[in-house]
Amino acid sequence: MGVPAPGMVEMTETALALTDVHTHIGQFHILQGVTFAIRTGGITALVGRNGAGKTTTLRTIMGLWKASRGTITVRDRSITALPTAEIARLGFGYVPENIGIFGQLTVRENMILAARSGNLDRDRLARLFGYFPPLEQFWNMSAGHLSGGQKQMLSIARAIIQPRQILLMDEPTKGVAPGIIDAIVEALRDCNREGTTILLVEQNYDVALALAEDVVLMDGGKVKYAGAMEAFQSDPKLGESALGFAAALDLNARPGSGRLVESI
Amino acid sequence: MNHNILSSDMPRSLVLSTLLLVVCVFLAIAPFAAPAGPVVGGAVKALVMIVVVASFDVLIGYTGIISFAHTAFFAVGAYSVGISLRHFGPELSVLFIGFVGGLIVTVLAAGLIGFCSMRVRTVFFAMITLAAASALSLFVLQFYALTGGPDGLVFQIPKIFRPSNIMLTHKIFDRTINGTFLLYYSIFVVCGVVSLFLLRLVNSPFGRVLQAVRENEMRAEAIGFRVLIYRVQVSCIAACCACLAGGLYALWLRYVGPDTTVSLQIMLDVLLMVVIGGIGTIYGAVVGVAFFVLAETYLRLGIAALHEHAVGIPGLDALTDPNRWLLWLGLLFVLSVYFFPDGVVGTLRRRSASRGKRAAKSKPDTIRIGR
Amino acid sequence: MRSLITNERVWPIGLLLAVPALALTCIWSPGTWLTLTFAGLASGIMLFIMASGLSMIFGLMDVLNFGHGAFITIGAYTGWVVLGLLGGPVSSTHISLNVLSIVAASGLAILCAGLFGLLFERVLVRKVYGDHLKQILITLGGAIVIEQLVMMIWGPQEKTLGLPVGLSGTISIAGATIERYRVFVIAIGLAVLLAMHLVLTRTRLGLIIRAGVQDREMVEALGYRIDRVFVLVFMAGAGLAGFGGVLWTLSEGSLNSAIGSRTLVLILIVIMIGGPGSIAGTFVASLLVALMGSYMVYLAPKVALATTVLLMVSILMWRPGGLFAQGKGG
Repeated sequence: MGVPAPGMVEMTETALALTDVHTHIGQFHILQGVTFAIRTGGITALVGRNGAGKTTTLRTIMGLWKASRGTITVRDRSITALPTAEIARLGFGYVPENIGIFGQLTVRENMILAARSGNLDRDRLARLFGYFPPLEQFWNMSAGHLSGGQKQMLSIARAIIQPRQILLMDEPTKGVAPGIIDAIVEALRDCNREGTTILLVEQNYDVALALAEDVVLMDGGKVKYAGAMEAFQSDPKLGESALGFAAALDLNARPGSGRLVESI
Repeated sequence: MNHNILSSDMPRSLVLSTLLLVVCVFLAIAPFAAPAGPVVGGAVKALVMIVVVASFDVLIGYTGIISFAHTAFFAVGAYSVGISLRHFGPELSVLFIGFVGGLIVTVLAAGLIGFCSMRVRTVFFAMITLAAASALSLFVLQFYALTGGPDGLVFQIPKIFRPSNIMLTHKIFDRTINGTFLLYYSIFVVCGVVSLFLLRLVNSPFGRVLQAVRENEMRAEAIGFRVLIYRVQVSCIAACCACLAGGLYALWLRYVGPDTTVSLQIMLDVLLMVVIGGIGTIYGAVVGVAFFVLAETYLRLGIAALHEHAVGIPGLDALTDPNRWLLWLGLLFVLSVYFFPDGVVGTLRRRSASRGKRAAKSKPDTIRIGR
Repeated sequence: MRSLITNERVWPIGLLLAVPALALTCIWSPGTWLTLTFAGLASGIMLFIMASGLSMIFGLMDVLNFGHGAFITIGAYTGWVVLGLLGGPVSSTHISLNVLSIVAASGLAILCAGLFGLLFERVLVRKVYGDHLKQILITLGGAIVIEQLVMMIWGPQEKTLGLPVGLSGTISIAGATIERYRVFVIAIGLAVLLAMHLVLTRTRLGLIIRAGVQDREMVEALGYRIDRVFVLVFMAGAGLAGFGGVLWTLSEGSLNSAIGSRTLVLILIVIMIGGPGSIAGTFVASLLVALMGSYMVYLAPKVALATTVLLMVSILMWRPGGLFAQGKGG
């Protein structure tokens, strides 16, 4: 980790692109034409209010919900109609909003499952233990008995136990103590350095700031802004009107300033 | 006026309306139409089954509850009438007590079942009702003294309903108007009223809540409906309809036994009728029952006729053996679920709507059983 | 191992041990009690073998196969045919020959039932994923068709099936008469249980299945085609049902085409009590139901099934997901 793994250097600029994606859940029209592209090797934060459609976007990309319209492409290859398992095998790592660890399996078994090729890379695992000590400590314990924060660690570790092309993370720092947030940020930075593209849904604006160079803002199932984080930060109108938590938003915040943003 | 009687839930299809009309007319004149016997017997069975299937449709199609215990309530009604008449004598008062007794047991049991349905998922609930129904059928078979065991009970019915009770001195259409006629038309009226009541029920605000519960229970609860109360109520209402139908059937047959009430086959028949007719339509009950009763007689005759010709041809011979009626039933089942998921009524309504280019009224045409 | 000693597991096992203990107080004579207990254990094991497949299918893919009984019937008839053909080994007094003949019969039964399982899944079940009502209807229809076809081929009369000579008869344990066959079944059942346990805990496939029972979506998101796993599980479940059918028929001594539907109700009860998707749950529940049935048939036969239903309802009120409920992930 930390050095681009062989084969991870991409030729194309865009790792993942969504074009006019609509998703219906029952009769609800959740995504109403989502269009954005993610730069290869970049870290993009997907932000917005509750109910804006962020989780739905990630689930649609993973194929857990089928897009009713539009296309999703990975390095110019359309994945819109593929089953979830095949999308995953294209090199996706996924951390769902509800953590998604298998409570009745041990930590070890969770990790074995996540390593698709079957074997756990010893060195890589050691690095992960470095970031997330409880995983080593509770290696043979039933994952359901971990605390919330530890489960989150496991979920993330599962997603990065092998090098992935793209990481989709849905609020990886939710319910996690500040010290561990730092570990998560470090681990994700490491992955990014080896060439993994990251799309990160984050309500914790500090984390988003700390990691992401690009940002996609969603509201009401549509993309309101997609571009560099700096430009986003310096535009007061964007922050105020679209985010809805303008009052708590400190647009001049620097990474690690410690101000937590409350979302509505 | 039509709108009022049919609670504004019109057939919405010319073919369907014609079908329904034909069936109703036939049922209305059955005692006059043919020599009393199989035809009238079939008509009574049809009337009774329409009530059973329609109330089952309210459960399955409108509320999303799959209950294999439905026919058990039919049995409760039949046996309570039968047992009362057998052990206390053929009086009208006894008959009344029999019905009321059956209804009381039904309400208690159905209420309990409805209450239990809240704790478990829909599919668990279905399996529980299956197990309970099996237990009941064993119970019926074993408590010989009370229920007559496998042979069932034969009993006398109140004088007023007997053929010996000649009501009119002169004949109408060459038929003697006697107690049997009275009985038939009493059953006809009761079944008709109950069916129209069910139609009204599903189109009332109560019915809309049921559909909301079926679609999304959590949201219904969040909006403020005490889902449990509705479930218990609809459970009781549907069960009471089945109970009533059972009592009427036993009264007509002057016999009650496990083969006419608790066998699994009856439940399968009901399922088939509701699937063929159309789930969630109420009218589907009429169509499904009519189809089934016709099929049972004429298809069977047809297969039997084929059988005559097939003697000697090994495979065909066995296939058309009249004892293999269930085989065809099963195939019919599978094929209807495959190709005909909306049932006859659903398909007819859809065709009519697209032809008339009218926006179809929101009706439950797919059944999603939630957790 | 630590996970086994958690609170949730202790209670059901306690219940399982309590039932025979309670029965002993009602049935004074230890000899009778022992006979009944062995009978219950043997039936329970056979029930487990038949039910385990359906439990995994339901737990893994949320598919209600009301036609599971048909696999039992097919297996039973196949076994009957094979054992009929193997007259020699069956009537020999060498236990090894007897066992071999049962192995042959079972093997073929598993194969036939498994193949039918594949057919069933392809033709019927695949069409109705996600719709429980249609699943119930279509699998019921399929089951009826198969049962009728069996009746067509072999006739509606009951067939008799004699136990291989070496396995018939009784032995004496602690003064009680225990049927030899029952001991044999218990041994086989434990072997099957062990095999299942090993597959589920030691193999990757087992891991995928266990994870899939909890959270199917996440397993797919990890890159596994769980629908392929499902077909395998379905076939294995059907095969096991067939195997159970052979054993059950041998224990009853007679066979007719309704064997499937007869056992289906019990199997459904077992699955609900044990919790779908849990082998341990199915095992404990099977023994529980069978033991209770065995004692009740002796103590108060008329209410035997009713008591079982009551047991099921009480357990579901206590734990709506079953004794060993598998938490379904988000």
